[in-house]
Amino acid sequence: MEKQPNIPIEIDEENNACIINLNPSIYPMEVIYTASYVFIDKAYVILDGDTKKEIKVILKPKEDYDVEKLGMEFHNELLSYVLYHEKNKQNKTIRDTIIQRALLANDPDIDLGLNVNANRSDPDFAEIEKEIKDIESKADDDIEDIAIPWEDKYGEAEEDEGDNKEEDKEKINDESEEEKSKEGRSEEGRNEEEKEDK
Amino acid sequence: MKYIEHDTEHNILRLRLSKELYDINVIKESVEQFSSSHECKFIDGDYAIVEIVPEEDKDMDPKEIAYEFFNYVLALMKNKAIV
Repeated sequence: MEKQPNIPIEIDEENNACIINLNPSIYPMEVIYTASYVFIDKAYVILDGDTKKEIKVILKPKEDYDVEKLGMEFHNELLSYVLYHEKNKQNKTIRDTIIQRALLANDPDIDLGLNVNANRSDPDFAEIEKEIKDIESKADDDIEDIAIPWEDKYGEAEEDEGDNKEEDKEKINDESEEEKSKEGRSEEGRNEEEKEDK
Repeated sequence: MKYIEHDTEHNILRLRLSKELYDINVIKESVEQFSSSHECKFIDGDYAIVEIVPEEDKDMDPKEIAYEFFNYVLALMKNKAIV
């Protein structure tokens, strides 16, 4: 078995595999699992070792592939997932805060224990609160008469509508009478024609 | 014992899996799944030992079955969100 200088990869020529020794304090187990899972399509992956001292990842390519290159690619994948893992940890608090805030409440007075209102002593925060209260008090004055019911505000207009309805009814009656007289005339015409034929 | 041993005399593959690294319930489930195509046995101890009797008439290298088993356990752990 050859050990590469300064690179923790051992090449097992007999089995055409590489053995990667990893320090679990540098690479968390979940990162090793994730990187290993990515490789199961192109290699056989075996995990061995001690979770406290050293983890061994044995990679055997499924097809003809450079074993050393496979090991190096695995290291790159590990690095990628370590970075993802660290960023995920760093952003966890703020992500949880945003999600909980969005899901649970829109009221800024509700203290969710998430330190969202921690800067209430901030002068900007006080100014914003004052503005909100001003807007709310103006809303109570009802400048635009929004709170007045439609009937109270446009009662007359409704009466007009009532008059219109009566006019409409009269029109309909007139029309129906005209139609009847037309029908009567047409019947008379037919009778006369019949008489002439006879 | 290495992680894979092939007892050619009795035609048995012995796989050694670390119980720290592999979930024991997933190993048992994988053994059940492999039982449909191969004769399989799970032995509990300091390590989880899985014995597989590869079918001789198949063209597949017996050790490849063992490697497939390791991949299967890892994939199942990932699917079950254990890791």
